[in-house]
Amino acid sequence: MGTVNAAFVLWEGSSVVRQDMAEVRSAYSQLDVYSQRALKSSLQNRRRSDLEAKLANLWVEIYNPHGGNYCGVGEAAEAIIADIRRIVPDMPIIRGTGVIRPCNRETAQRVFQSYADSARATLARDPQFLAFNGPAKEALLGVMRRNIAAMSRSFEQVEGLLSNPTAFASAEVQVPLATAASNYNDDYRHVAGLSSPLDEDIPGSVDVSQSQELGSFAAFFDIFASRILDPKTWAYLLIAILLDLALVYFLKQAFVRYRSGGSGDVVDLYRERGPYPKFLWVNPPVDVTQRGVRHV
Amino acid sequence: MSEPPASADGDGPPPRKENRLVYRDPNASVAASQRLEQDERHPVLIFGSSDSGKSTLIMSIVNAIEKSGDDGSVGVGLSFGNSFYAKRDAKAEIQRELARTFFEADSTNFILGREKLETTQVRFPFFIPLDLRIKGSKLKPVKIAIIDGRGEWYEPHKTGTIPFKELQDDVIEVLRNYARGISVICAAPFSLGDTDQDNVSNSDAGLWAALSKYQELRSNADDDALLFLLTKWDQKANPGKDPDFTRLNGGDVVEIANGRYERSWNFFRTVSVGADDWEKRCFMQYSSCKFIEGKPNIPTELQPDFIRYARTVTNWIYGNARRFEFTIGRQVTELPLNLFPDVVPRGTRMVSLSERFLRRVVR
Repeated sequence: MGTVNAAFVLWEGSSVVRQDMAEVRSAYSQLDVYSQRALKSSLQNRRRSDLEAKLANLWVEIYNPHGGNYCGVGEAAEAIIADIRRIVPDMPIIRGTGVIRPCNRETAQRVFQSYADSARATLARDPQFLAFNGPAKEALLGVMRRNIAAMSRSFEQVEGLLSNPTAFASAEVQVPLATAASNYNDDYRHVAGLSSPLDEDIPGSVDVSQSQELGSFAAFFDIFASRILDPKTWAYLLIAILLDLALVYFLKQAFVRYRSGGSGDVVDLYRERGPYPKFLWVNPPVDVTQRGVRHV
Repeated sequence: MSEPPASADGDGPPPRKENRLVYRDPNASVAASQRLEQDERHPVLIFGSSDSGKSTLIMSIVNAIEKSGDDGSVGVGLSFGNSFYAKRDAKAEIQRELARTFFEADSTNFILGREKLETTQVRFPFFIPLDLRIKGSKLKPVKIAIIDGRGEWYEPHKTGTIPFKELQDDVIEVLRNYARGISVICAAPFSLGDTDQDNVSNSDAGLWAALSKYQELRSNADDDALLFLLTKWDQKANPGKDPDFTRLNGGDVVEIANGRYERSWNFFRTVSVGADDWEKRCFMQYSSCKFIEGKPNIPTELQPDFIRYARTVTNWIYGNARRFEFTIGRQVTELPLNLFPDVVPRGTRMVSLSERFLRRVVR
């Protein structure tokens, strides 16, 4: 089985690495497209619009410009404030909120302004609003674009290296793959933090452990199972089994020679053309089926 | 390799190659090379110092052939090649007697473990002619002639101004004049005893001198075959106890040859035996038998291990002799080149990358 593993890994190693690379590329591509779209969503802009509309209503209710002597925070204003808190849940309630009689419009103006400032400030500090509309969004997209560009460059070099069938295990191949996978997982986490829930089709993480565990006996079965429908897998398996049989044959022959004192029963190097004269002696054949060496 | 022209009557030996020096032994009416050619017999020369195991090597080969077929292997009939000494003068007569005694008495005693083996003490080298016939086959017997002699002839002079002794006349004559392929075995003992390291050095120097002479005298070595034999391997690996006695790698032998026979081994590695000569220069370890109180003794359970050595070298000689037949126009491709298939590599193939990898892992 060791030979099977070795042969399978040797011949399939490059394919496994290429497959993991394709997986990282695909995942990054989906995340990139989604981010461009999702992070420009009108959701957060609508929050702002909704807030401003509510604030306009609140001003009317508190200031009540046509209401004679009545102004201040009445029931209708409290309902609007509750609506505003649904948009910006962290907005604080101003102490003393309540109906003000007789109406002091200057005071009412200050109360409204306090609510408006507080609501706008709270929205401006909101992480989701910031991400989609502020420097954090640009920073995240910038990092992700740099990561994608770096992945493309490094994967091109890796493709060149994989023309050598034994290069799959080298650091020049494994490090870029692992770095790209790690970057993707970080970027996904950041995007998910800003726009949860994400599209279900986007992989939550990419796993390149198959590439990194190539040659590991424990991982062999998993790798094999994951590629069981690939005809090449079976072709390689057949070759590997033949190699195993050849190994058994070699071991048997080596055993025969060991039992016979290190010399073949028929052929001797000195009986073949070489720098020395021809060796005439032929060792008697050995019957290795018997216990101990005996001449037959 | 060019094929010599066939003889006029088709059965006899081909005419000699021109421009060859014709060495005439004043004491021999028929030179050894002529007798070999006329008898269509493949010569096997063995270089090696005293106690290097030349005689026991020949005896173990005779023993292996005599016992062939007992264990289901190819049955090979072995007989003394009288035809080689059909024409003989006084010297050849002596050589014939020495060879016959060696074949009929010494080899038998070796097989039965009756006599203590002594260093060969003769005045001149002698060819032991052997005819090998595969039982139940209609193939003509393969004729070989293995030379035996004193080891001192392949050792440095202890005194005098000439550093090395000259090769014996018969050896020189065959090297100069024998037109077809020759098998040359360099017997290099692993050890000559615990306190006799100097003689291993002498053995190394003597083999180097003999190989140098071979290269100097042999004008056409295209059909020759050389074998570097690290003899007395049982002193390196205890038979029956040390697995290295029967199961080892060429590298094990090369390491010892490099260490103990640096001079002759490195010369052997590079000596030219024609174009594309890799297969014509071979090497291996060797063990003729186990000695107990000077008598050859091989326990029954170790006989398959020991006989494997002799069979391997016999195959090598037999194959060289068969290739010699090819050079005189026979269809060697239809003939077996090995007597004992159980010691032959099962087919030849390149060593695969996986095989090389396994060897590096295991060793």
